[in-house]
Amino acid sequence: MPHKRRALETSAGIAAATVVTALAVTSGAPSWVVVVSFGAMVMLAENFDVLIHRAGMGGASLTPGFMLTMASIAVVRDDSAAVLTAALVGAWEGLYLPQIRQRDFGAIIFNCGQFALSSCAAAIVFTSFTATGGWMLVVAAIAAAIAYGLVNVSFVLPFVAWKHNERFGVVWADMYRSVPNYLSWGLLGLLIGLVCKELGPLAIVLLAIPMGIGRWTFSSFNRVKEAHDKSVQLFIRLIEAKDPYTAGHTERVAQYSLYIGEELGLNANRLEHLRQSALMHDVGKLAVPSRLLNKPGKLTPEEWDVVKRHNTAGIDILANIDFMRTMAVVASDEHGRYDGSSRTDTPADLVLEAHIVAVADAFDAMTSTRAYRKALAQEVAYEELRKNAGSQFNPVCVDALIKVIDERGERYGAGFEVNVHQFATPPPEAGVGSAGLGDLELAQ
Amino acid sequence: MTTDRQLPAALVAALAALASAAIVLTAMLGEPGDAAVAAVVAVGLLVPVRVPWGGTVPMGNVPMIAAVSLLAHWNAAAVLGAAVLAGTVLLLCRRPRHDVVYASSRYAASAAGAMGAVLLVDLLVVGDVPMLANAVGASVGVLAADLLAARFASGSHDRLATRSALPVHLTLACAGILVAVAVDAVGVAMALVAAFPLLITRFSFDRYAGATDTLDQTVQALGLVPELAGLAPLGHSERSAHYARALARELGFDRAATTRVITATRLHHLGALPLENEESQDEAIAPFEMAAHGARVLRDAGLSAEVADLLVAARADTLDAIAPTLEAAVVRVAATFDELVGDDADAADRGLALVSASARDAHSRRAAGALLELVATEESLVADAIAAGDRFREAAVGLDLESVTGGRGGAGELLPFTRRG
Repeated sequence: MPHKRRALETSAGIAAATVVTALAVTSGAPSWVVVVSFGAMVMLAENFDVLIHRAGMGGASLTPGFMLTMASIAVVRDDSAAVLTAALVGAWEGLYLPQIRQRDFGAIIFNCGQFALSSCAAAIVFTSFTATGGWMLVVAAIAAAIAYGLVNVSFVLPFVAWKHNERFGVVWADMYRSVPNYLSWGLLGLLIGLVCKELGPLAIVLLAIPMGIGRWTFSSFNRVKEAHDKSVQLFIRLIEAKDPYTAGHTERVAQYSLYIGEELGLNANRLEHLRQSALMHDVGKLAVPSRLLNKPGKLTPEEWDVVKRHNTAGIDILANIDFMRTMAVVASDEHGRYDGSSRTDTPADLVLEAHIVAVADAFDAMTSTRAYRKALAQEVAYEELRKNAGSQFNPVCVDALIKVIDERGERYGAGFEVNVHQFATPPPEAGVGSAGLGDLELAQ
Repeated sequence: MTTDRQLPAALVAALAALASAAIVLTAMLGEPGDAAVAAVVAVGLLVPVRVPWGGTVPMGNVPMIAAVSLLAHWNAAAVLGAAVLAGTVLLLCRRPRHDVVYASSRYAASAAGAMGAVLLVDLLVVGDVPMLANAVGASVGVLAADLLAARFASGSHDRLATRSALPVHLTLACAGILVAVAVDAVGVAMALVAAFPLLITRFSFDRYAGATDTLDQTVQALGLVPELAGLAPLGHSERSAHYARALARELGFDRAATTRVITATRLHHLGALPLENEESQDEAIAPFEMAAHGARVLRDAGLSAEVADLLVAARADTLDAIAPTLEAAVVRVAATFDELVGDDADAADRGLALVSASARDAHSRRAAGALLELVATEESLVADAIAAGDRFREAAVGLDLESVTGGRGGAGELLPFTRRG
């Protein structure tokens, strides 16, 4: 809907220009020192920001620039042209270098306009409170942050929705997580502004140094996190190299696990732990003899015992490493079985994660072609999961997975496989075997 | 009480009584509110800010700087004395005894540094001393004393840890000065506002430290993969990394170089692992080939190109190579020494002799010399390395890990033992 987006860009620009002109006529000249000094800091913050939460829609993010705009409002609070000054400082937030380089003037006008109007709204609210201290000042700061957020979201929400051709609800679902930041960063910005007003430029220097170090720390954190993610990916590649016929298995198990976790209402932190645990669920395979892992046909009891012992040892060895300890619990057969013998000191959260991964693992094992059996139909896999719910599988997890897959209209299993390997000997239509530890329960 | 050994109840009671008396005395002799300041400084000892590369700095440095800047000298001395005592008692209830001794002595040194610096400023400045000068002086005093105490009280000469703590110190010093200036200009209420950015700082350092730990552990886990596959002795990467860390410290490497050599040492067997079809590879793999393959794996995964280059340059696990850089020499000396010693501490002398004799270039000779020095001066070096590897070996007792890749690995053989499975 480019015409709607263009109309919104133009409207934001015209509205902001009108408001600024009207304020200039009625309230006199702004504080140019604040406009230039805070404006420059705002632009720097906008262009050298570190995303703490990266919004999925690629266009909606909240940066420290907002905090500095709010600080400028507190600094000029008592000036007659406080609202105008705030609007002009806010406009600097729209000067985003990548958009300037791309000559995306529509986006620049839109952003300068909507940021100026948002700052204007915050300044009007903040200056309407007459209290100069105490709790009323905090209430004024919160109200100003809310005013900024309301105007900002009312412009950005339709803009992003029209730009990406998405429904408003979908965009809001992505944006709402950053809403609390309006309050915390806005409140902090106004308080910092009050400190600056009282103490002068020294306060800015003393605040800027920790903030700069904080920014460096956050960006270093992002780099380290990225390196960690790549290391985990390499780990998964090494696990899958043990059993080349199950490539893509860990990613699918992680995806199904997230389906179940989201349906059961796990929070973001637990979902991330669940995802990593699901990716690592076959970690014990690393210590299992390859000749047994890739053996076509059923394992002998002796071979089965070797596989179990090596798998458990592999998990136990890696469990010595702190960050893998909880994942090892999720990966263990002991905790994956619903009627298994989970130790009483194992946290309930981890036991639930183990149940989730066990269901996801079994579903993928049944709906994928393996050396010993072609993929089963989705309905057959459902039936098998339901049949074993309450004994092998946690019935809540089984119901959740089936519900989500049906609601999403996704199809897996025979006729719908993505990764189909070329086997030297075509797998039989049905059967049991040894490939992949996830199938061992079914193989018994 | 969660101490490592039960402290005599009488000692704890005596310390608690002394701390209480000190705070009461501070309240009686000083200005109103001095006792509250002492309590805040005491509690600050219990709130650490994590340094991303190890260690902590107490958040209490902030109120300490502010208190020394704002209070009269004798009042400030009484407040800090009471705070250190009270903080020690509080710590005794939460931490092992050796931690308490270390943390309290560091805190006491910081307090002494702050007081000493303010007195020095008093001597140097003619007339009334501006509060800001006191605050800056106190910050420098705290910083210098804490760095010295951290270095000597712990018995560690880890320059890397000392340098790494500087950003945290700088942040806390700025916050301390800001709090002092804010209280002086506006009042105590503004101190809370001025200290607010500290929460963000603490949060960001904490997250960074957590992420660094996790990355380190992921690399540790990756280093174990060839061992789980029977391509290297279990515990080899962990022991080698222990030697590499000690060598990096001994040779004065900076943080980035230390991380690089530890990572490369941990992953030097990565190239022995197949990433494609295992069945097609059954020939022995030479150290250079293993290093090149490992570097390729790292580059393909998008991991550090510098570590990949170091793997190739190091050609670890072979005595027959020239080290083009000191970092490469450290990786090779660490890995080779462990290859020769393994979990047998008695083999350390033979290992040292072989490593030294085979050092043909200047870098290798320097690294081997550093190892000789370390083994001579740090008696527990080899024992600690063996203990680090042992925790992984315990879980595999009774298992034949060589069978994992069909017995093609030669765990325990002298170089080159690695074969592609």
